[in-house]
Amino acid sequence: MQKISYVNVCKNLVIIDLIIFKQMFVDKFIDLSIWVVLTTLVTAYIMPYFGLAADFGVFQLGGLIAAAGLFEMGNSNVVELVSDFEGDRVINFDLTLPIPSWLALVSKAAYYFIIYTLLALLMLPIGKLCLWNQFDLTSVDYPKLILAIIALSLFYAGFALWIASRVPNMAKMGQVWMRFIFPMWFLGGFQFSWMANYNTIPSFALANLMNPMIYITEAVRVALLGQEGFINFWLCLLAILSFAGISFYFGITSIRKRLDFI
Amino acid sequence: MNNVLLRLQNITKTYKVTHKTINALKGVSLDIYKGEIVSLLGVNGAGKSTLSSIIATLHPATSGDILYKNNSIYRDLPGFRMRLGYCPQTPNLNPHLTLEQNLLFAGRSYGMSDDQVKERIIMLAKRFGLENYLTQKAEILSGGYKQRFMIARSLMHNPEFIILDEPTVGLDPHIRRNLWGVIRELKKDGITVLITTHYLDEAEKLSDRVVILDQGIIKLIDTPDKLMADFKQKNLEDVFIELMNENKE
Repeated sequence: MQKISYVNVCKNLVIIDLIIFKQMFVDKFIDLSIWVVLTTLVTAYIMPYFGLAADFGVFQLGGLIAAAGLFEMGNSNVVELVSDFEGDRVINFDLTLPIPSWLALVSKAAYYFIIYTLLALLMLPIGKLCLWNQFDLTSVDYPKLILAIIALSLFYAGFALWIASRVPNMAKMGQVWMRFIFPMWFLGGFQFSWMANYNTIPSFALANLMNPMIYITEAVRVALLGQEGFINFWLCLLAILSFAGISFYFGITSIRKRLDFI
Repeated sequence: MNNVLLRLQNITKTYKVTHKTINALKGVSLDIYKGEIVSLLGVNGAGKSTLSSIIATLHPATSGDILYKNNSIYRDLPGFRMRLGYCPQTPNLNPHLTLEQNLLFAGRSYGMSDDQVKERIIMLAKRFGLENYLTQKAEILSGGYKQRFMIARSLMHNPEFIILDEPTVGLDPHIRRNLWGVIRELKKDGITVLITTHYLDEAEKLSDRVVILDQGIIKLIDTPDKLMADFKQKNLEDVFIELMNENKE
């Protein structure tokens, strides 16, 4: 009997998901473009009329890059996972492959990580096309941007598992989105920096430090706009990776409990 | 006996459904011999699917052990899974992939080379009459063909032991007969087969031995002929009904 390579089995599972993602990529790209184009056009060209800073478009692009994975996770990945848990359980096949069962979930998360990274990176050229002269690509700190995107994609990958494990059925998905993910995103610095938050409502800003989105949006903005006015980049990275670790742990243990796998 | 392939030792399974504890299996012990077809019979809720899913390593047992060739499967789960084919009751082919891709990735996931996989797909497609459907997606298939594909997928890696959970449920009678032929061929190939079913005629015609489960306990294990002789009945269905009536009394 040949010895099985766990890496090859996991690679296969990721490839299957990527093949399916490829089938839907054009639609996803169109949806993503609509979101980025409309948001950046409004914030970069209309909102300054109401007194917003001229570089608010780039600031907002940071929020979009930070949140791209979250929207893909909430609108697509979690929905697919929960509907599979409730339906045919395609995942049961993965859970009986010749690997430790939890590796099937890690493979799923690896696929999420890849697509969240891809979607975040795609924001950059779309944003440049919309913002044009307002967004200088040479001023971007690319090593920091890459690190931030890797960290946020890791977090969303683990978070997808965790959220999927907590949604009892598809009918509750809307509630989870509106009561949990939406506030986390909207209060997580999508349109403001933590410092601005602290200067206006300090107690809320301190409470907001429990929100992983704050660190994600801040880290991306440091990469796009520089460190000044934002939480220290390395602190953000540490916080995002810590939240990612927590999400993975609770995601895998909760799905194990829900599906009762070995 | 020396040719015991799989030994279940006092398997129990307890789970909670809305604050109520269900004892689905209450100490099941069973030997399955190499090359035989064993049918698990029982009414709905008897524990058939729970037991088969535990043997398939989908779910853990609450207590007890399963030995495969005298070694606990839990010591080397991936190793046991390499030797096992599992066809669950609900077809769970990936709906986004073609049927050929479903088989291809199943083979690759068991460490087969692409050449081996292609050869095996051709062989299984021919055997199960699936050649015309390989480039299609699962949604176009009728229940019978889906079931054949499910069995084909579980055989991709040439397992020594296969579990078929209600393989003919909901199928037309002629398709059921067709699948019986498929299952008999598995035995001819030397594959050990465990079937869960509530079709008594199916168990009678296919099985070397039947195991009757009732409320999580094994009530009887024997050959269909022996059971019919002991209960002085003409068919297994009458044996089953008499046994269930005895339990009620």
